[in-house]
Amino acid sequence: MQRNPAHPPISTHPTTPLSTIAAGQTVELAAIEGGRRLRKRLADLGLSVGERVRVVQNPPVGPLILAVKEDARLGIGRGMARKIYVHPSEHHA
Amino acid sequence: MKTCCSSPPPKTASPPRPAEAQHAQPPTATAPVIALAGNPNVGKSTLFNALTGARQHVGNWPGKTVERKEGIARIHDRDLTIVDLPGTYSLNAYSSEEIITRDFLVNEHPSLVIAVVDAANLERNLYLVVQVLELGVPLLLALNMADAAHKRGLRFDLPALSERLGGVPVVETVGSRNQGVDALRERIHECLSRPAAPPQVAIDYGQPLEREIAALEKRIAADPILSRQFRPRWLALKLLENDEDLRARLEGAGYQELLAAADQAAARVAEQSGEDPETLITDRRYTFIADVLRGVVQRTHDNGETLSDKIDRVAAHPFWGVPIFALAMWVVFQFTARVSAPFVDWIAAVLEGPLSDWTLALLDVLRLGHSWVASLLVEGVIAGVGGVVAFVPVLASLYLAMAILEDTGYMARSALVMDGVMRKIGLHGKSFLPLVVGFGCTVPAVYATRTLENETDRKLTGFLTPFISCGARLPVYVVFSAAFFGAHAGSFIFALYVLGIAVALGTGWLLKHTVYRHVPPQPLVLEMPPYRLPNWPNIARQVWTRTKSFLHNASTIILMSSVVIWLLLALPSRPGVGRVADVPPHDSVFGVVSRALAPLFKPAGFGAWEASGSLMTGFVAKEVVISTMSQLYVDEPSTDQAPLEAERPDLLADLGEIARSFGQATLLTFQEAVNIAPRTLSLLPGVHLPELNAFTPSEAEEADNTRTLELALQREFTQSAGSPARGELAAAAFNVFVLLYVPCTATVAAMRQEFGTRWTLTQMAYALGVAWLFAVLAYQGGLLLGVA
Repeated sequence: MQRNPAHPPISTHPTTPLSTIAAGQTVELAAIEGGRRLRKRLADLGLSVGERVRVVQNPPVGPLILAVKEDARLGIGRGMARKIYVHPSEHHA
Repeated sequence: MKTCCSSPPPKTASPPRPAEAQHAQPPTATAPVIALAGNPNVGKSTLFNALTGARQHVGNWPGKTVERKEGIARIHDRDLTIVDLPGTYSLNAYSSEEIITRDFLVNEHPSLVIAVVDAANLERNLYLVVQVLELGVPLLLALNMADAAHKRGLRFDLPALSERLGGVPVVETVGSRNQGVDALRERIHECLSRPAAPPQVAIDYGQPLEREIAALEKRIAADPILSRQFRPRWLALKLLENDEDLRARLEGAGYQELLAAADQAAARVAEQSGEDPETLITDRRYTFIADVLRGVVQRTHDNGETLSDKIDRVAAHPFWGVPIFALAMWVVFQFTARVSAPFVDWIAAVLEGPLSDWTLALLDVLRLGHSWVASLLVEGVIAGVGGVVAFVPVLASLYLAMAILEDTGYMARSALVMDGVMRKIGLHGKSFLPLVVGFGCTVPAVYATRTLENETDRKLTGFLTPFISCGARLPVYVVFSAAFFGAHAGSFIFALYVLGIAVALGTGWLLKHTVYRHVPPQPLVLEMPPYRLPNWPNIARQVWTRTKSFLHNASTIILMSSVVIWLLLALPSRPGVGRVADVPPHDSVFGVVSRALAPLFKPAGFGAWEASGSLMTGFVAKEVVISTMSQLYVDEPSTDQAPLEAERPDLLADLGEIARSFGQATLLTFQEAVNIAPRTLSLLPGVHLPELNAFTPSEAEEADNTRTLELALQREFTQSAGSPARGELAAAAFNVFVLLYVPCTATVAAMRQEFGTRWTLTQMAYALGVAWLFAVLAYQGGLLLGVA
């Protein structure tokens, strides 16, 4: 129960940290590094594995802004974004 | 369209639940209780206001600093109690808001829960709604801010939504414009007039989860205590979700076996599916929501980038965001410090002038003039009331500024922008605002910590705010620097401000590396609500209720400390030195206590009892240090009696004067508010806008008095320290102490209200220790360096 077996980055698809995704791209969350408490918190806000999010803003430094569930906007620290792995984009907005 | 709350057929076949009927019983004896639940920023308060009007009561939840708002709504000649639950994203009770909301829903059995959701953000909002549904309480859904959703091209099929949620009535509302509120009232009435039964929606969690849920559910249903308190299926789910709060409670109640069974069940699920149960449960809920919304929400046009997104490209930009935030802070600071000033002066003038005169005249009539009663009333009680009331304009203007920032949605952006900087010293982006407000006044700064959701961050920030030098400490520095440092006065004052900031940040760093070492840095994830125009009635109500709550909570402690100081000064220390309320300060109990404390400050160079005495009165309010010093040093026995020699007041003339000065204060306030604009623009290099200057405050005639005090201070500090140079060092050390030592009573009252007695006492002890240490360091360090 301590470790979560479900979310090592999925090996069949290459994954990349959310912090590297340019604004305007839509990506699917592949894995979230962190305790279950944090993952639950993120899930409450709409960020869970399998979810598709659009990067609204990704400046060179500082926090990112994401569009989650289409209409919600989340500000997310860069440190946090480095721990969220995504499947690289399928299409640009 | 199904609009009733009475049992519609279950969505999915589920086994009969024997405990259902018992646990769902609402209390029928008293007025029905209706709870408003929803995410933050969905306009819950606006809807609450629309339903209850002026019949509201704002307090705190027992043992918590979270606001508890309750009101009465009259629907069809029936009074209903409406409780506005704290905004929360889920029932995964982590924060105090979430625990309050969940406990209320589980334990208080409200007759009806109105789930308020942002219509323009339905999918994410329904996550909470689904959890409330699973709780099995009668529910009504309000799609609020429907106008904004329509503007974005969203259309909703309400009957379909209602049906897919198990017959929950659904209403579209625009709380800020009172639209849909009548329909909401009708639905509330309908729901209450039928025998309440919870809507039957069971999310199918699939195998292997359903198997484990069923097994646990059976176990729970067999326990008479648990099954009465909880809906068994809900509790089974919560245990599989590893709900820490519930687990702790069950463990305390001796349910170790059940918890062990839940752990084994969770392990089996993880093994069979490769996912831990909480992830699976979350996924299933979101999948259920996606199914519910399929076809229910239509988008007439797709607009990827909203207006808020465009604004955020500048306002939330890591580079441009900082100057914008600095500007916002500047305006808030102007608001709390300058716009409130005219009314602060007006209140002080009324209390010290006419009100004191009238009281004395009345006491003369009652033959109590010149007695200790007169002294107590005027110097103890009225002065104390003044201490409380003087904060009202300051707080009201801070609350106004904060409410605007919050209501428009800017507050979330400011936290985002400042997070990087604050994180370096272990604080959260939202800690910045209270610290800045602290330069004006520590009391509103303490309340400003309410914008921090995380309790640890909030307490930590609250702990630091008193070290930021507030406006009341400035008069002390000014008098001392003029007396001792002449041309260097400006640098001396500046150095004190810097020291205050350094101690605050240093303390923050220290606490983060000791007491809060085990607390992981809070990752920054926060919702950015769309920008909105402020809703003025809402803001006005918030300012009013919060200010009232301060008065209610702070008055006792401030009044009491004021009376205690009066008592110390009024009681003769031994027989033969005077009568009660007619004794020279050095012979009063105050003098004795001050003399007892004085040796403590010997190492800091200011060991005279007058110095420690004025520090004691400075506890009431820091600027009082100066008035006590002038009382003790300049005109010892004489002015003690002076204020009690009132001439017979002319009631009409006084009333006229009060009205006139009130008018003037109003005009000055208006002028200050208007002047924020030119003053702000003049910050730009090269811009110099004239300020509106039609009204000028009447200048106080204190100059002579101050000069006398400065000379007396030079004389006394030099004498007590041994040489002029040592006197200067002692004066510097004294100011360091004034900067850092226990915050004033109003701050103590605020901290107690926000963080509890124990925390407040800890802060006070720490502040005293730090103040003493730094004062001694300043003095002894100066001696070592050969300054004196």
